[in-house]
Amino acid sequence: MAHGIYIYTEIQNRKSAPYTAELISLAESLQMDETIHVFGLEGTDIFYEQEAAEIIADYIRKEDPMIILVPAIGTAKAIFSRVAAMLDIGMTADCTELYIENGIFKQKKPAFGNEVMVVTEERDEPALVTVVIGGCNKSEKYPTASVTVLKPEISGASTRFLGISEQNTEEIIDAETILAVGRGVLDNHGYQTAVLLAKKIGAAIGGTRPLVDQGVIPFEHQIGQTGCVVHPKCCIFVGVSGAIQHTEGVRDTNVKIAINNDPNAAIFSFADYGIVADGNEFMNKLMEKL
Amino acid sequence: MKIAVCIKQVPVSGQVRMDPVTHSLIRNNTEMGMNVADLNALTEAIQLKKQMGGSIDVFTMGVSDAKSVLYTALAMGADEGYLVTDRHFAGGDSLGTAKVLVKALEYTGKYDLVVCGCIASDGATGQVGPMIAQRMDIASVTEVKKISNVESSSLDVHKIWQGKLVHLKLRLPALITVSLGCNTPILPTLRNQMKAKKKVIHEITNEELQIESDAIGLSGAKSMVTETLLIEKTGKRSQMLTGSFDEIADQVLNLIKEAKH
Repeated sequence: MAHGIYIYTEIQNRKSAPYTAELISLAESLQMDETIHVFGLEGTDIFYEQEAAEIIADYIRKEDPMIILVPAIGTAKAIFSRVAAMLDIGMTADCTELYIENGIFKQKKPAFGNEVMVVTEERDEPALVTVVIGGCNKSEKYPTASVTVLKPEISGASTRFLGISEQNTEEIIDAETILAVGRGVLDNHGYQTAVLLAKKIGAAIGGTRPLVDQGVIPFEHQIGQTGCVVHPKCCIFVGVSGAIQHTEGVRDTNVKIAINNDPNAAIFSFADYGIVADGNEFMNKLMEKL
Repeated sequence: MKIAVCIKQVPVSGQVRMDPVTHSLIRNNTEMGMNVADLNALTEAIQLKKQMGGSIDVFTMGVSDAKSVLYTALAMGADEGYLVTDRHFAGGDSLGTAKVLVKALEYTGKYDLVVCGCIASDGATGQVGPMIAQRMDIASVTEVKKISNVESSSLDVHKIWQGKLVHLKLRLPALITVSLGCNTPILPTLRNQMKAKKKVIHEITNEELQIESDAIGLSGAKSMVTETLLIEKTGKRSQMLTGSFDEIADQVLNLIKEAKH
């Protein structure tokens, strides 16, 4: 009989990732009479997708969990896709809400562009779901939660870690003001202006997926369905079209201001205040005033 | 180097509609095209072939209409196009899709490298690539941004992780998924498009693959959509700020300042 809620985490510099507390909170909010376990991988082991999946699948076979919660971040999704394929179980991606209805574990997630939210459930146990992080409160139990660290067998692996180049990044999850940039400011000059403007108004830079994929902004600064959820007091959107995958991540913002050159952009049904203007020109104007 | 690229036909615009009863995409009258990350994946594969020689086979699973993305792939520089199509394959989840694609890849031959886009713009799970790798029992690296040091039995891949660039060596055979926007996709010339149209697209059905139908398609799907909730359209419109550029800029700075208190 499957039992327990299992939470996956990645440990860097002996600390489990900040989302661990959130996932624990989510598991607690289900109010099931089940033990919560935290397990994970450490350091560069997360890049050995094949070997990491093997040791995790072994662990799951042994523990027989009822539910597995995985943060919807690239490295974890890759490994658990392999785990799902190995164990022949389903995997539900990018959930934004988890709940129990009539004793059945269910998830909610946005789907198909702007149109709908869907409710999903799994046919088998364990129910394996990835959860968009940054969306809920942090559990107080977190600092004391003990983590089972799994060590994949990486000698002789087809993958070999060669190195990592450091870059400085700042956190946006706790920022009070966010300047969110989209495809509309994709050229390098526009992005430089955004960085300067953000500094002047004391904002953190956030962005949509295309900018992350192009390497313009780091993954931690991606807002939305496949990035993080933020709760700033004020968010200024420049060149952001307003796709729900992005806006889901900033819904809980007090004051939303959007600048877009397309008067029909979806962002103008989302923001509180709108300005139809070229994003780069408008940012330059703001800079003049500061 | 023998390369396979898996691509997907998706609606071109983000505005797709879903059937509230069957929970599947309404494809009528929707303009379809190749998934953007797959254009990047194919472009990366074509660059590898230029360096190393070899061949590129392109696979897509879908209805007969999905042939059009295979023609695009051929016009861009792929060698052969395979349409994997059968009513038993329809309605599957990501694992069901991966199972069918793996059988198709095994049916056509052995590949040194399988390349996929990192994410589809419609399903957006990003799961099919690593699932294929697992079912083929080969290594995978997802969200690759750059490839270097290409040799016949290995290559180096670089991926963005937490704002840093991670450098990995990957022994072949292996699978990579390619980041959206990591290169500028090849634009096929008109001449190459005409040439591609004359090529034969190979069709692979379950007659060839012989997969038990309860493992794939709708009956094999393990996660189910049980409800579809329309997101309430509030009809909300932003309050549009008017005046001169100067005045608007002042208003915006005030709004930002006020919000902080």
